[in-house]
Amino acid sequence: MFKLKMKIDGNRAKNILGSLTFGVLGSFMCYASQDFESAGQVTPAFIGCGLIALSILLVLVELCKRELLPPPTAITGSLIRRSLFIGFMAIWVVALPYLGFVVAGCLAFAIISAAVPKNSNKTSAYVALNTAAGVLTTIGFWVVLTAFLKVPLPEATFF
Amino acid sequence: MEFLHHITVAFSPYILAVGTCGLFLGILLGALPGLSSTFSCAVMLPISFSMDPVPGLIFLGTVYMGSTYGGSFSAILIKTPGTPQSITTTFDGFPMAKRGEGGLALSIACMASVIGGLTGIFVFLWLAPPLAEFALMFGPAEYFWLALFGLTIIASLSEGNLVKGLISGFFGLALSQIGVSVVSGDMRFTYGNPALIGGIPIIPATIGLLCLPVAIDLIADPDHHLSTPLTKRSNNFLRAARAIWDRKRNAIQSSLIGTLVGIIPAAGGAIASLVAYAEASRTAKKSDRFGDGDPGGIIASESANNATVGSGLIPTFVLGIPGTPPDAVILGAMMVHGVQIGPKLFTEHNDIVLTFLSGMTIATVLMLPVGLFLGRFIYSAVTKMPKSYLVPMVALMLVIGSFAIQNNYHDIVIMLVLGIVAWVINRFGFPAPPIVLGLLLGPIAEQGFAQALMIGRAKDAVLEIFFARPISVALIGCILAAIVLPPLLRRSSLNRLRMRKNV
Repeated sequence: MFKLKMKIDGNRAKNILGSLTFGVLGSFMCYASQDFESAGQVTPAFIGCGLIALSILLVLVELCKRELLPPPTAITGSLIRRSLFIGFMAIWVVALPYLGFVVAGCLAFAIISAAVPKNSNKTSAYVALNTAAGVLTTIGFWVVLTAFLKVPLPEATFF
Repeated sequence: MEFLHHITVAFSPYILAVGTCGLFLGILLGALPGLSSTFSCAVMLPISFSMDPVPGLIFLGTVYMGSTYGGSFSAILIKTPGTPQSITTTFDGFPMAKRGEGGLALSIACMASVIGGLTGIFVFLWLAPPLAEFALMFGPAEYFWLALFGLTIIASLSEGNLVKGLISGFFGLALSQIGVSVVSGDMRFTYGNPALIGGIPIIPATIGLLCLPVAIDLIADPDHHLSTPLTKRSNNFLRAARAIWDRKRNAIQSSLIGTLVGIIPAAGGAIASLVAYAEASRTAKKSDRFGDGDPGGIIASESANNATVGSGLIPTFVLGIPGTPPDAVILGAMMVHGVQIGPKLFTEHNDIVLTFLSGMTIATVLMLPVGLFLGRFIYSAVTKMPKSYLVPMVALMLVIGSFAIQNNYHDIVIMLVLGIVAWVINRFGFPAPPIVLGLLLGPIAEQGFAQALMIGRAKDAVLEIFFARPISVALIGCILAAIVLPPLLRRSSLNRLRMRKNV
């Protein structure tokens, strides 16, 4: 009935890898749910079984279908800038309790702003303007939230 | 007639000023990703105490309504829902903004919000007591079926991609299992981490799953974020009015769905907009392209979530059971003002109720000029904003939005981790919105299922509890229709197309 497609291209392999990852997660949920009380283990076990069944179904679909269904999203633009952004965000989050919202926010704003690609060359005035805008925006948010709305934001513990 | 009298009372400059301020502040707070309606109402609560009961309540009500609509701004312009209620607005709002129709999308959202808001208020006015009784008929089994019905939207979000959509939905359900079990009290999947005991918080998770991937992709290329308007002098107001008139059935249907879901305690605007979106896409014409920038998607989402503002107050006022968290804030404000909640409210404090509703009605109509003005201003600002300012600004708002609700540092970490996970699995073709659905509806479904099962076992009537109650039967019918009808209709339209080609 189905014609097994033996030649697996890159995108199809990506789909199979993704579905297998969720299958492993489902297996883990089923295994870990054994430690819970009977009332609490039904739902995670059901979800785990659902993930396993769906991942098997997706693998079968990928192996048997002639055309690629559905194609994984292609990455356009710079992967390096994306990685840098994630790295900056991670450093920002880690530094937040030590440097506080204002200092960490101003630094992160300036650094992320500098990492954004621009069609024309960046001048020193342009960088300075972005940094100033970042400082003003961060302080503006801090003042509005803490002084007017009484919402506490992370405070510095480092100094 | 009595209501008309109170309308004239509420037409005082003071009430109008209070309502306009509430709307303005609500829209601005709701427009910031992560700052939900609950947050907006909570931070404005102390200001309302400085006013008399009626203006104070109108102020809070308009903040609630404004923030619900304000969530659509960032949903449409930067694909980052400002509030959980506007998750479904991103599906069609952002594609419209990408093709240069962001101003039109915002105008449609504003008008749909006004229609939904007025529907909720009028239903409250005329049908509050019987609808409150209807809401009490929802038992655990009905909540379970309602949550499952909400999950059927995965089918409409996963056109040609259903298995991956379902896997994402199940992943969301898996995430909802982290923390203390609502059924047994077990610590599930926390592994000694105290930050996970309370489970994955919805707002930071939503920001991470839906907003951070957008910010990650924004930084990748130098092209401008949004297209500039196709026609500079196009009249968005008339085009939006025509778009809504062409889809009046959708607007009415979604407003009514929002109203009905709103009166069910704990359901709220997010579920209302999900159910309304699923229904609108199921009953759409063949020419409609839901999920690809169809105005109908915005109309369904925004009219439904704003309808819950008025209808959610029905159980709050009549029964003293807040329908949504912002209603709980309003309930608290009423108690502080010494207004007695319950059936007696409509006899002993009828003046307060009617003046409050009159003020809300006027404020909802005022949302049209205020919303359109702010929409025009913010749209113009976002389209002209350089990316070197927009990207760090979005990142800053994501951090603030994740932290501000619970003032918890761990929420920012959860936002970041889930955002990276969502971006990675997006690259493998697994969509993020079903994960949010699973996370949102998982606890409701589990609690409803477990409680219904326990009641069924105690009565020795498990099947009757799940399958024999009228509301459950109606919801099961809706679920089956949502799953079975779209592929059948698609197949029949394909067959018709083939037959036409053969002829």
